[in-house]
Amino acid sequence: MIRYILRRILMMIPVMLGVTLIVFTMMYITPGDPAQIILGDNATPEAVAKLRAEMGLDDPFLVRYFRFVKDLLRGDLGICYATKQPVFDRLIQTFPNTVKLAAFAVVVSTIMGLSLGIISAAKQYSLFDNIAMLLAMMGNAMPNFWQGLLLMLVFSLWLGWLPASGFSSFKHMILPALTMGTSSAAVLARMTRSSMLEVIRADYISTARAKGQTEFKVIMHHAFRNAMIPVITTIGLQFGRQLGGAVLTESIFAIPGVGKMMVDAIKARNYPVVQGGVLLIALSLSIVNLVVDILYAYIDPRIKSQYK
Amino acid sequence: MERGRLRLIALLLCAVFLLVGCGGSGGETTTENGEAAPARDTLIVGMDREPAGLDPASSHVTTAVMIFNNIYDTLLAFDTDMQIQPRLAESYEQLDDVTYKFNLRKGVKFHNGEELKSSDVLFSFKRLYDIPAAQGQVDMIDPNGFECPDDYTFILRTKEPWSALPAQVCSSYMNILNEKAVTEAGEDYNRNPVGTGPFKFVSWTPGDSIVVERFDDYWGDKAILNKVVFRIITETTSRVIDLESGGLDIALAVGVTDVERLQNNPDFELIQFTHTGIRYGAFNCSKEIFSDKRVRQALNYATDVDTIFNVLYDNGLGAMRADSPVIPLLPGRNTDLPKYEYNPEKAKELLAEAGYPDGFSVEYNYLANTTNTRLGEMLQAQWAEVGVELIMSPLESATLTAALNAGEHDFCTANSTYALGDTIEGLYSFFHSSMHGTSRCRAFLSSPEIDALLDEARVEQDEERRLELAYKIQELIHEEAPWIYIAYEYYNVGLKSDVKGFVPAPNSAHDFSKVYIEP
Amino acid sequence: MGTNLNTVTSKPLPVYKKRSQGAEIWRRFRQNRNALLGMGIFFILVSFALFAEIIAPYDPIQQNYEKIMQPPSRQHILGTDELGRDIFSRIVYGARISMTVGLIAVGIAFVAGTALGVICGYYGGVIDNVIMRFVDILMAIPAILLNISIVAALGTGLQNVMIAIGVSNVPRFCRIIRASVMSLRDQEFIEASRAAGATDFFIIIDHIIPNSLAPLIVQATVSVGSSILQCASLSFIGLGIVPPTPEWGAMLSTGRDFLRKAPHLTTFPGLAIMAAVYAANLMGDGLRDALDPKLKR
Repeated sequence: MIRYILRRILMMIPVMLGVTLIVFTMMYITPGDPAQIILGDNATPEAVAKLRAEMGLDDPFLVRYFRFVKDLLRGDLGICYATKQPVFDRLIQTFPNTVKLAAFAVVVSTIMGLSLGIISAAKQYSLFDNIAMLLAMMGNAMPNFWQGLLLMLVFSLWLGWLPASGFSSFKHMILPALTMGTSSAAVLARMTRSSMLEVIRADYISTARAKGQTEFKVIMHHAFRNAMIPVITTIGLQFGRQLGGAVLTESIFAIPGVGKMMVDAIKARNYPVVQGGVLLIALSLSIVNLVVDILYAYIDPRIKSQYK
Repeated sequence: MERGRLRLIALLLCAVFLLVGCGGSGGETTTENGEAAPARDTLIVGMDREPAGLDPASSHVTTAVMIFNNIYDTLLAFDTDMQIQPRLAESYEQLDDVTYKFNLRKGVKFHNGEELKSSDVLFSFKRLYDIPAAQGQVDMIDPNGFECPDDYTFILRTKEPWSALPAQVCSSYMNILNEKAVTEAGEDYNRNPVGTGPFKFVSWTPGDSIVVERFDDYWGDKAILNKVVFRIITETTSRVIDLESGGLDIALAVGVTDVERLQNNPDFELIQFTHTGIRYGAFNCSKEIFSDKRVRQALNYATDVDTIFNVLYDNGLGAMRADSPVIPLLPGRNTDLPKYEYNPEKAKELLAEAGYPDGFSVEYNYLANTTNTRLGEMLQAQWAEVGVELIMSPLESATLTAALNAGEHDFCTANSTYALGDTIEGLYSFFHSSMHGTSRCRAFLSSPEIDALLDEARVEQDEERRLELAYKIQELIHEEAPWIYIAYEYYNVGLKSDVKGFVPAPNSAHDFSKVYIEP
Repeated sequence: MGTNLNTVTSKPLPVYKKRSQGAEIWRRFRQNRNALLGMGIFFILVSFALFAEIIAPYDPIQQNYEKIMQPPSRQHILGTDELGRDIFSRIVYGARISMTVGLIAVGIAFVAGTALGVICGYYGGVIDNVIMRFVDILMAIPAILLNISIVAALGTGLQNVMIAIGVSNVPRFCRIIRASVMSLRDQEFIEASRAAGATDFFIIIDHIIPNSLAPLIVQATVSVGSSILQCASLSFIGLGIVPPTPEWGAMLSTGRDFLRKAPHLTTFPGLAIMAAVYAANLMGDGLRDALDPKLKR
């Protein structure tokens, strides 16, 4: 097992290098000149050319890429073109917000997904089952930015319960987390439902029923526990997805997160920030996936035996 | 066995969530002032863009200009009627064609306690030559012509006679910095500004807010508010909802569609003002098709600007109809220009005359926002009537800027401000052939006649004669038709009705020192 | 954003005789009311797309400045938009774009993902390792950022949007089919075929792919929905389909500026997107249940 984990961690290194190479290439072929953007509207072409040279933007692709990798290996992510801060600082400022948001969104989707899924499974093919699944999917089918604005209209403007935007207190997190959480509730609800259904048909459930336990007890004590295994991994994967998917929600709710920063950076050709941000998100996604895999192996000994 | 394992996993998961939650909520990312219920002496302003930095030489977006104006002072400054007034310089005089003498105010304190000396002015101006983003600002000023005869006198010289010098001194790039503060902070200065303005910088949470507080040793009338929080909310819809739901005291850059509702709501006030910009469509005259002025005129005739104006600006709720390249705020505006009335027949005639009886296709490069998209869709429908096909080609902002600067576009639209708030300087940057490839010059016009007049006007010292020339230049430009004038847009600011004393500045340098919240 | 109903169990299914299997699946599918609802919605949208000229009462790009942002009325059942165009007609024509984006983007992902996945699963070894690392790389970059960078690099427009969305969906298909190929490749009937002298190509086309199809179909179905959402997100960022082509995401994104003044500008395109994604998800779920005999009652 330890060997497996070590191998996975080692394997992340080429993957992360690959991520930087892909992002670097993509930024390279994208038109647009960071020097021009930094200098703004009033800059003379000479000044732009001079700055380009200073920034090393005129160097060939490979030279620039290897310079980047060399710095990276020394732990230097470069300096943000826009704010002149080290990219590392910018990530430290924004990443925790995104993590908080993603975690909260996962809590929301877990609560919604699990409850809808369990009830659906308990009452399979009932009207409730149908309605619950339809509801769960509603959040998934709605474009996030629209949903966010509607939530803001209802809960901030009309009801006045929650602040509309910003990220300075727990209250501020509710609407964005709801926006993001509802979109993955459906995945969890479906997973929970089908996993519960599988378990419910198992022999020991019939035994429990035969022993005369109440239906509620059967569902909660026996079925739910065993159905949780795939559900937990799904929750883990959702967390990873939310980390990378908070972009539009962050824009709508004015949250200083890493997603919004990245989109701004792509638009401004702020290469170091794009690189650093993608690398950080990719790394956290990989780590989350690894943790999920380890958990999964831990739960299911059959899988564990494959990890040699 | 099975049960124990599950419990462990559940615990692990909880631990991960908790860690994650705590790790984030360490507090370093929250502003002290994002709360919905502000203290009565704290003003919360929602703004549409985040400045890249607070070094006046680094950033020039409107919101940065606004914050600079509250943290720093310039030697001279535009008032809200775009008249030049003394600020840190009590007075100034022009000694000869190229020499200006500024008499500095005495006893002015920087936020770090240092006193303003002429050496700070010298330092603030000299450093601009070394900063690529600002070099254009000191193009006309002689780097060897500065003098500091004493601590309160400062002399500068222009390279050649240049009548826009006082306006240049008002530019936000020319804010006065403290030499010691800049030197000490080094690279960090961009995020730790020190000025002489009515507010001093407190904190900046990137992507979230910039906080400033009253500077008690301000040389002029001290600010009434204790604190101003500038929050960054880029989505217009969100910003206005935040204002209306009580999260903001002031929302900048309110959209046209929200104007009427806020006007009719007694809890809010809506202030509209013209800023120093004009919205226009520009033909790229360096492209073969548009090198013929008949084609440009034809498309002017083919455009029903009145309708476009009414649709885009809600029948005048959001802008004034443009009828000249010069904005109404500035002197020398020629209002006698004949209009290009909507006339598809005439347009077709002109096109046929120019050798395009069957029309042609034009690519429209733009940034995909609602205004540009609607504008393009309307032009597309209208030009189709005269056989011209407009191909919409949205680009993402960095690509667009590069393409426009390189003159790769056929046609584009823009909302440009007047350089230095000056008629001639503005026209020069839009139409002089030496400006090709710079950001305001989208039409790539090359007219020796216009060039000559602009050159003459630029050095002309006599204001009257300057305005005469401006008048003449506009006639020529109108005839050349490199632009389709569309509108002078209003800038809309929404305020809670208990916010008083906000007077908008056309150049976006809004002053918050006089603002207060009515108890 | 990036959350879609895309986690699909990748277990290969037992192989049945073809015809009876199809009939059996259809029987199970039919019993699922939600799936039928999804299919119903999907057919409506497809017929919008196919017969837009007949169904739409107005030209979707014909502007009418007299009738800007009118609320729904008898003449314009869903009202008019910010340039006086009939919203219903635009939604009908928009179905064409959204369906095209959904189907072609998924098609790209399906073909590329399947090809890569089959090669990985069938040959294993170094090729597998190399391709899978590449897939890991793609998966490690969040879909929306990948989409934005690809469109920024290639330029806006329908074609590039479809390529971007297609590329970001490749890894999922690849992983699904790889897993199912790996478990198939050592089964007896494959070995028998190989012993009989069949080429790899023949074995892949004739045996491996047909037998791995079930989870792929489910994935493809739900991916149509998520692609439509991805396309809408790109429009929000200003990198979507070029106007005046009526596209739901662009309509929704433009309409948000008028959210307060004329909510119908966003409501109807929003509902259209929801309906399409919904339909895809319901059908995907129904297919999944129908294809998985374990859930049979």
